[in-house]
This record gives sequence, C-alpha cells and structure tokens, in this order.
Amino acid sequence: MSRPATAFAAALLGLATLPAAPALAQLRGDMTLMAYTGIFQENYTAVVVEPFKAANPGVNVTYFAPNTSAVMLGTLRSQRTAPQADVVIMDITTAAIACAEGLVEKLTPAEVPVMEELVPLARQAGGECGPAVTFDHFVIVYDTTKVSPAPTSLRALWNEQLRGRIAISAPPNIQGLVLTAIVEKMEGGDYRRGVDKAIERLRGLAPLVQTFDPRPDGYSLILNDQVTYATGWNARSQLYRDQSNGRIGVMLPEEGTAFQINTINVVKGGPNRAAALAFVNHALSQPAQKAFTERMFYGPTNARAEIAPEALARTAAAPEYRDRVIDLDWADVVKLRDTWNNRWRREVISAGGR
Amino acid sequence: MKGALPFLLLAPALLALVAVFVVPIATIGRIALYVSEGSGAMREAVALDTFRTLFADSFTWELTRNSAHLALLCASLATLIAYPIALFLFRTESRFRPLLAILAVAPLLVSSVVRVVGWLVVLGDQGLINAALLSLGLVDRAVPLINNWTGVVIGLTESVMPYVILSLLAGFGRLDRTVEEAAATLGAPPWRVFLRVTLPLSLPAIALGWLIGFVLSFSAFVSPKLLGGGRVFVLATEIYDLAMQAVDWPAAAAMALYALSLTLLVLAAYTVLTRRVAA
Amino acid sequence: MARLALEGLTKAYGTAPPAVDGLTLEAEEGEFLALLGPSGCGKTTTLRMVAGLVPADRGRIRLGEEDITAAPVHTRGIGLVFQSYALFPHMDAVGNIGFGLEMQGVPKAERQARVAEALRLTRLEGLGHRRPRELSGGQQQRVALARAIAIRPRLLLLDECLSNLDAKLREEMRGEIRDIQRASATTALFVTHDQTEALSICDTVAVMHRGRIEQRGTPEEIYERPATRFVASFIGRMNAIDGPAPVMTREGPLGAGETAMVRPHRVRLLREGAAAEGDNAASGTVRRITYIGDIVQVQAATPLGPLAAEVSGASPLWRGLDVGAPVGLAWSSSDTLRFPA
Repeated sequence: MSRPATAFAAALLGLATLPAAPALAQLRGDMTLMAYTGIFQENYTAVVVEPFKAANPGVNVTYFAPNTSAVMLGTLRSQRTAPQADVVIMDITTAAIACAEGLVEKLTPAEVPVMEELVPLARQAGGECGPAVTFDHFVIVYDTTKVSPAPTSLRALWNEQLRGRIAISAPPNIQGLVLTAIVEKMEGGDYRRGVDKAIERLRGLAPLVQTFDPRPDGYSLILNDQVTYATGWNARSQLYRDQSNGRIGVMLPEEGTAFQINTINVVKGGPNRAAALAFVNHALSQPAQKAFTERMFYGPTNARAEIAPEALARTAAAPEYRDRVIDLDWADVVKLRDTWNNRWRREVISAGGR
Repeated sequence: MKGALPFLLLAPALLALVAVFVVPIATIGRIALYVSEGSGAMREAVALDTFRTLFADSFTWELTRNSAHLALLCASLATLIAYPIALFLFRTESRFRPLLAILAVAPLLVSSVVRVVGWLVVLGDQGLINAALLSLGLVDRAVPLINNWTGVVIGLTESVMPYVILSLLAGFGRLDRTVEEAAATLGAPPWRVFLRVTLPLSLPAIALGWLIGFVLSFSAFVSPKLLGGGRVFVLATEIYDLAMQAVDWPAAAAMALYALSLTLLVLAAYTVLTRRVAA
Repeated sequence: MARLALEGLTKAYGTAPPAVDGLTLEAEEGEFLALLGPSGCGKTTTLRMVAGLVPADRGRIRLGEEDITAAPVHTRGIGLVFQSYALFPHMDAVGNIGFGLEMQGVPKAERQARVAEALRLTRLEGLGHRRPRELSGGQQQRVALARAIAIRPRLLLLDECLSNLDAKLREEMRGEIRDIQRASATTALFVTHDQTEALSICDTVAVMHRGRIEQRGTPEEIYERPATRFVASFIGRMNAIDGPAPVMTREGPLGAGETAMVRPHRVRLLREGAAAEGDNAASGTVRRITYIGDIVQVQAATPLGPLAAEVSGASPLWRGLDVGAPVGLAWSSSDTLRFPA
C-alpha cells in the first residue's frame, strides 16, 4: 500500500472508532497523571489532557510533574503499597525497571484496543507493560548565527576551530549512550560488537569539548553563546528553534540517530483504574498522537495518526529520515551502560582535560 | 510525672531528629542491602553484593581520592582566605561591623545554584576574567577557569568560606587583644606578634574552621556538578549519577553510606586529636 | 632607667570632652610615681599613650633625652604590667618571661640566666614550667611583673595591677613591687584608683581629675595639704562644712561660698559635760556608730551639718554610746582647710 492510501485507511478507521466515545463519558472521579515537567507539561496539557477532560467531564485529571524519570520511579517505589498516580509517562529504561518490579500493569489490546493501531516498535518498546507514547530522537543542535551552511554530518564537530565550543551530555546520560552508538556506526562498527572505534574517535573530539555535563542544558548554552554545538533531543530542539526565531539549528546527522522512547503505563493498584485505561487509550489515539506531534514534534507511535507533512518532516518519522534510525535495543544498552560509562570516564573525558 | 517533663519537652526535637535524620539514613541503609538486577530492577534482599561491587571497583578509590583531594584543597584555601577576613571582623571597632559581618556571610543567603550561575558569568570563556585578560593581551586564548577542576575549586572554596568564617569567629575566644599588646611592649614587631601570639592562640579556631570546610567540601554536590563540566568525579556527584541517571538505588545507597562513614571518621579523628592536644 | 616627661599630652575620643587634656607631668629617674584618680579620669589612657598603644592627639612624651611620642610600641623599651596580666596562655612562665629577651635577640645562655634571675627576684623559683592557668592569681601577677622587668625596661608601667588580688595578697604584693622597683632602680609609673596603694608604695603621687593633674606631691603632702577641694575629698575621709558658719580654718574664718574641711581623725569626741578644747566645737546627737576595727567612726548631727569623728577602737570614749545620745565635737583650726565651694 502506498503512503497516502495508508493514511486514508487510518483516517477511515479513526472515524470508525468515534462512536465508542460516549461510553467513556460515564467515567467519574479523580485521576492523576505523572509525566515530565516544563514545556512537556505545558504542551501535553493543552493538546492531550484538556481534550480528554472535555470528553470526560466527570473525570478530574491532576498532572503531577517531577523533574525526571528517576524521580517518577522513586515516587512509584515509595508509594508501592498505596499508589497516588494512575498513569505514568516515563523513559523506556526507567519504565522497564518499573515493569520488572511490578509497579505498573501489564497491558493487552483487550483492555487497550488502541494498541492494535501502534507501530510494531511501540508495542515492542514496552514489553508486556505499557507501549511507547512518544518517539524522540538524538540530534545535534547548533548556533545558526555561527554555522553556515547548515551542517549535515556529525563529522562537522571534529574541527579544531570549535575548541571549547561543544557541549556533550556524556554517559550515564542517555544522549551520551546514543552518541556512542552512532559514532560506532559512523566508523563502520556496530555497538553490539563493541565500541572501540567510537571511543577512539571520541577521544579526538574530547579536547574540543567545553562541558561533558551541560547545565542547565545544551540549548541554553547556545543561546547564551557559551557553545556553538550541543547534543540534544529533537522535540525540545524543534521547540527551542521556533522560540529562538531560528537561532538554534537542528541537525539529524546523516550518520544516523536513535530513538529516545517514552512509554505510557497504568500504575498497579492506582486509585482510578477505569479512568487510567481510558486515558491510555486516549493518549495513544490518532487525534491525540497527531495533536501532540504537530505541537511538539515527538514522533507518533500510532501508525494511523495522520500528521501534517510539515510537522512530520521535523520528526524522525519523516520518510527521508526513517532509514537513518539505528535500531538501538535499550534493554541491551542498559546492560552495556556501566561499561560505556567507565570507558568514557577513563578514555574520553580524561583526554579532554582543560 | 515530674521526671517525664524533660522528655516531654524534648519530644518535638527528638521527633524532628528521627524524622529528618534517623529515618532517611535507616532507609538508605536498608536499600543498600537490596540487589540490583541487570535490568536495573531492584530486588528486596539482605545482601552485601552491592558493597562487594563497590569496594572491588577501582573507580571507588579514585572517587575517594578525588573527594579527599578536593576537600583538602578547598578547606585549606577557604581557611587561608577566611582567616584574615575573620580576624578583621573580630577586631574591627567600626560601626559598620555588623554590616561587614553580614556581607562576609552573604553568600549563604543566595541559593547555591544562583551562586554557580554567577560564577559562569565571571569564570566562563567569555566571562569577566577572560574578557579582561584577553583585552589586556595577557593571553591569546581564554584560560579555562570553568568546567574543570579549577572552576570547582574556585566555586567550592567560595561556597564553604562563609561557614569557615563563622567557625573562625566562634573559635577566636582565646584571642585577647591585650596579650598581643603585651607582646608588642616586650619588643615584638607586628609580624612577630602575629607569628608568636595571634597565630598560636587562634590555632583551635583554624582547626575548627578547616574541619568544617573539609567536611562541607567533601560532601559538596552542587559546585562539582555545576562547575565541573562533567570532568570532576567525586563521591557526591557519583551518588547523584547512580541514583538519578543509572537509577541504581542500592549502589547509590551503598556509596552514600560509604561517604558518610568517611566523614564520620574524619570527625572522630578530629575529636581524638583535639582531646590529645588539649590534654 | 630614665626620666619621663609628659608635656601637654592630649587625647580625645570622638566628640566627648578629651579623656586626657593637656596633661603635663614628670617622673624623675628612679622615681616611683603613682597616677591616682577615680575611674574615667584619663589615667589609663595616659598610660597607654606612654606605652605607645594609643597615639596622642597632641603633646610630647620624652623618655630620657629621647622624644618617643611617635615611636612604635615595640621600639620603646617600656615594661608594662597589665591589669589582667595578659600572660601568654600558650607559654610557660619561663617562656613568658623570656619572650621580651628573645625579641631583643639576647643569646640563649644569657636569656636563661636572666629569666632565672627574674624568677628569683619574684620568688617564682620552681614554677618556671607552669602555664599561666596552672598558677594562682598572685603567681600570675609575679610572672607578669617578672616579664616586664626582665627586659630591663627604661620605664616600668603598672596598670591597676593589684586590683584583681584579694586584700591580703594585695598588701603583700605592694611591698614586693616596691622592693623590686627599688632594687632595679627603674623609673616606674603606677596607675591606680586605690589611694591606699598609691600612698603606701609610691615616692610621689599625682592626683588626676578630668584629664588633668590636680596635684603632684609626696603622699604626706597630698594627704595633709591637698591643693584642691577635689584632692581633699578624694584622698582619705573628710568632713565638709559649707559656709558661712562659725568655723575657724587654717586660712581664717569660713565665709559664704566657701567650704571648710577637716579629717574625722582630727576631730575629738567629747562625752556630755566635758570641756571643749580647740578653737572649733559643735554639739549634736549621735546618728551612727561604725566599728571598723582599729578605729570607730561616730557620726553626729550638728547645727553645722553632719560631722564625723574617729577614735581608737581601744578608746573608752565610744563605749556605752548609743544612737541619739548627746555628744560634743571639737577640732583645731590648724587642722581645718578652706576651699572655694
């Protein structure tokens, strides 16, 4: 099936599911969603949470926003016997822990029919627990007032003139893990067989690096003219690009990128399971996926969501980028993390003294 | 009933102590005995696996050395700089003395994060210092003063200095102006008065100030994290990375307990030493 | 050992009246001079200016032939015994006493000899290795003294240095200080508010009041022939009778705007009916009888005002005397002084 045909079919199916909506309207009570803070909260509330509330006037949704996935996991662990949250959106690596510890429920299409509409990777990402709700991907952000023409290759970083002008989030930050895998591929290797080539190449980059732990983040460092290049995530980068009137440039390296995946989960034993399931169904639905992608440029996980082409082009789901995405198995990477982390510290960062 | 009254009066303080100190540390102690699975999941257990891994890792010793090195350096620098300031504050009869004292400890009033941002403005490659050096032609290229050990040492020294000043002021009790005057009348020029009288008499204060500086620097997190540029690895930043990035709570808890016991060890050594010196 | 001369010395703190106001005073070589005055009279400020611890606003300080007004403290060669002793708490007695010699660069062997000598002179043999806190108040006092004289100062300053001792020890120390000062023939300036101390140990007493010297003289001169009303009333006990009154003084009859003064021990107590001797007399009733030990003071209300007489404790005169009993008082005009009121 050609692309437009798929989209057409998806639209039809979307219409077909509409009559189910009135059943949800009978839901009542309070429900708590735990997800990221900041611009994620602003935009997610506007285009996903509010429509859900409009469709379910009996449900009062509270958005609880800790700083990071690690804090969310901590909250789930400490509330194990009396959970306060119903739905949680967090990073795939943290969600895997929550799943293994039984803090979140196993989900099946029987209860969450919309799961049938998701791309295979989205189902796969969550294992037996909740599926992916957003795809984000690794990018390089740069200062467009200093770099022209727009770079297309990761190799642009290896440039002596950039000494002290590069910010890299090194492992254990997952940006650093993704970068390692991409550089290994750039050098003709495969991270599953080792990262010697990547480490060697990154050693050469290290002396140019201003910081391996950008604070508050790489985007701000560019806007404050502290650096010219930084590692980043696409969705936030796209938003900052718009907010900075194009000062921030976003490059999806031709050498490749990898997904950062957020999954959505129903908290085990949460106070309002019915509302939780309804919210998960809503969040993964075509309208919600479409709205959030168009708003914040996270790649959609619902295969049938019909995204406006100009928004789609700014995600890794765009046809021209799709084959650049490295198939990064996060369950593998988590196991490799300690080793990579140590190699960065001993071999890469130590070569980048300043 | 009368005998119970003191305990009743102490109860709120004891409860607070239990709530903010005993319970968290006990919790950390419990988590340290859990086991981390390969996936990162935490399994309830009573096992020493985490400690075994911790002590077998040569990086633990590197972190310990780094923390000790940083604390030694910052405590010494802070004491060196704080001493004349504290001495001046202790001595001055200026009517601005209260104001000066507040200025000296003013950094305490600013959140540590804000203070660190301030250092970025001063120490950055385009910061005040480098701008001055470059425009004076003293250097060709910005001197790296931040996102490295230098930045952490500068920022941490500044952040512990108010505490060092306060402990010095508290410890100057034995310093008596007339004793110094006596030395002067006996023919000692000012520098000899300082070396033979002022300095020896303020040694207990210096030891106390240095200890406070050391303990605070040893456990400091904000300055190494925010000014280190990911190049400075100390126990406190590693505990943060383990808990917040790797989400390995047992490892983070074990390392936190290890760092805490090192601090207690230093405090105990200080107590024993000062007892011995006093005796 | 040198002559000390203060010329027009002035020191003011802030806008208050000067603490020391144009003070002029001399101490001869080897003289033991007391600077006596009530607290706040400027005597300690004077001493601190001489020592160099406080700069003078105006005036000169000469020691021997040298003008030391602007000389730094440590170059003055003046021994100072502080009221609080100001011993070095981290050094033993030997360390304290040897400190000044060490500063002068005296070789170690000589230093040891001189410290031993100072310890002997101050009767501290055997206590040399004690720290100040292991010594009694009197012993600390001696260490402070020994420390000050060990440097063989050109001038010895003593700042209320007996006031922290108990009465008995104080009396003992007075004698010792006097002996040590004589033995070393050091010019000494002793600042005190205690007249007994000043009168009993010093060659000369300078009474200070409001930043100036009121009178300088031997203890006897100060006591017997006070030059001003302040000195008369500050030194010893004194009866005051405001004129006009039928009282004859050394200088003539007491007129209006004048005050007559007579010391209580010069006033004789007469039992009722006894004949009055002397040219001044008054009768009255007993108000209070104060037993001080050696002497007994009887206070009476008289038409001239309250008057006191002192008699020996052994005297039968006061025995059986009760409050309210009528008594007579008599004294000689040659014992009666007259000052403008």
